[in-house]
Amino acid sequence: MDVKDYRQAYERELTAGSSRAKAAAPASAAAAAPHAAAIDEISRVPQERDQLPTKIPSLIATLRDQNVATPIRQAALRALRAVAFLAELFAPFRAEFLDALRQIAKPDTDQQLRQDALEILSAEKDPYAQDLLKKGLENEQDSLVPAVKALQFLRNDDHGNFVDIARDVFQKAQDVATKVAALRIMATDAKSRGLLEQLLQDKTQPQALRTLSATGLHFLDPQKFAEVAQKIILDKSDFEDIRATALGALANAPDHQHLFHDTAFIDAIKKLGSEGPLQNLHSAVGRFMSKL
Amino acid sequence: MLEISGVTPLADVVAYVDRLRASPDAGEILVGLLAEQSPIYDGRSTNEAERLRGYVLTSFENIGLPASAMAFVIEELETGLNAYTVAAAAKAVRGIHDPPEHLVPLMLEAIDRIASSDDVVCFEHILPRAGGAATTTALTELFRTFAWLGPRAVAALPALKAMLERNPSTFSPAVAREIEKAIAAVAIGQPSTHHSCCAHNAQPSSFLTSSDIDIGSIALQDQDGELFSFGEFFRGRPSALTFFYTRCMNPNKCSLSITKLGRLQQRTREEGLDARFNVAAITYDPAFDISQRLRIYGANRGLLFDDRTRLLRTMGPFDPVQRYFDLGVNYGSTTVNQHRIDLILLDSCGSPSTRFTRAQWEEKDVLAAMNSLS
Repeated sequence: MDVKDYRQAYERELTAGSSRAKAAAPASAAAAAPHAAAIDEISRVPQERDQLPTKIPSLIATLRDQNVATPIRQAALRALRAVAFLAELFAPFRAEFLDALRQIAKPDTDQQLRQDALEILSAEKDPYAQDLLKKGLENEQDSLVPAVKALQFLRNDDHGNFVDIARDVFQKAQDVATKVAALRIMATDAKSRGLLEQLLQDKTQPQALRTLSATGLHFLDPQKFAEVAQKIILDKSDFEDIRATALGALANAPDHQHLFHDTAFIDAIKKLGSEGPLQNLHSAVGRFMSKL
Repeated sequence: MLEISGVTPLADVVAYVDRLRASPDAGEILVGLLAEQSPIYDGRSTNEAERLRGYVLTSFENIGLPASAMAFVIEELETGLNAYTVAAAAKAVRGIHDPPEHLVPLMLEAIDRIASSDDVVCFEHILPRAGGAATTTALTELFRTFAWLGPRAVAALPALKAMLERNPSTFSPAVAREIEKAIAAVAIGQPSTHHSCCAHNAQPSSFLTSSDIDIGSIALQDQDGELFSFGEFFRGRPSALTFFYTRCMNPNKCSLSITKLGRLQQRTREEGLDARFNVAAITYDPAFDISQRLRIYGANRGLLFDDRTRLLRTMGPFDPVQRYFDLGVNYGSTTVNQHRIDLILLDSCGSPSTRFTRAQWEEKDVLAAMNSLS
């Protein structure tokens, strides 16, 4: 697949996702309608600060209860997430809340509810949730959430040993969003420098992957990034937005001050500023030159 | 004997630990499994490593806690953030024949630390299960240990009563009931007249280094990108050297160590001793901790860099430094999975003479030991 096709596929995917969300919104509103009173009552709980010590346990019980309608359980989870910000008040109920989340992170729970549960548990670096997510990535039949979500959730823990599974998903995935999520995990590993360098220079890769590779390489090895970025910026056959991104990174990061004294590079950048109708690149040139 | 390593499935390691628990000489073998360098942790994630340590620690509740395991229990109570491992340390205390009184303030500190991150724990399985039976929480285990200590923890009575009187309560009703039980058990005692001779903070000790490594030739880079060898920097004046990594998730370990290193530097300046000593730290994670990262990390923690004060990384693998100083650290596939606190004093020849290990070190103790070197 060439770059154009990849980009078009990505755009189609984004559009489809947005349409799905729009279609789903009325459906979920319809499902919630019969429970409006209960949901309304639950949604007021976070404001009733004095009542929280007695209300939080009943919210957790509602969340756990499989016999309660899903929209009500979702409302309970939303309320609990809001209350959790009141750390001191919520602390006595934290263990029970996490236990309830683990209990609902299973296949027969509503898809959104279990995804929310896994998201919260993953933010806590919870090993139970991590194990479920990893199993889902290894075997699609076990997956509780889409691969892109599983990767986004696992990324919360850079001590979690998820680079290997991310690399595996990256190689097999067809959609850019999943590849991006996998690459974000790989970009926390210093051993990924080579791959990031290669992706950044590969003009056939989607822009999202190349931009992320630029960020990742800059994070892991600013010197190597500067070397690669200089080549890309001056390569007229490369995409304008990638060249502009690379130049922007060199202009703004404090690690590359030496380039402001590199007369050959500065002359080349000046020349770029006067060439062709490349608006983004010209703006980046302007920003770079203003730092001199 | 079963060969246990980092690739051994967790279930098999657990079965091995279970078998060890039943053997008469289990204590010291289990203590050996607590060392961070133990091969059972090689390549594991931090979560797995923490849970394995917790599972081993909890063994001591029933088989008795050997003296050599005390430092590990103190370390968890003093710096642990993982509810499972801290709960395991609390259970291990119940295996001590004659609990030292300095455990009481450490247990209270652990309660303060875990109060906002409590979680259900179950020691029948190594991995958490959803809605499982036989679960308690880390706080429950800590208060049960106070109840087990009974009159020996009488010094904690005012703090325990204050916890119960907080309004609104910072404890769940179930935990509050455990506090009540702990108070009832502790209150029957009289204030102790027996004082332990041993402080819990790290005390200087001597050690042997691995002699097959030429530490002096190891290439280092500092926070400004300057390159030199270990010998070039550390030979010529005595040094305080600690270890850290910028991705450490426990603020009571690396971040605090570097902050304290900054305070140590400040004290040497105030006492006019700064020209006599090097103050430095080497990262456990040299591939990730590039110069720029070291500079920002140190500056944010109050280190004032100069030619005697630097944060360093090895230019090659860290392994020779780890082996030479016998550092308590191990690695997952991406970064460190666990480590202890290590601070080493080197004499003016760059040779290690004293170490402060595992428990928190105090600047005054390190300064006193540094003064005795020069």
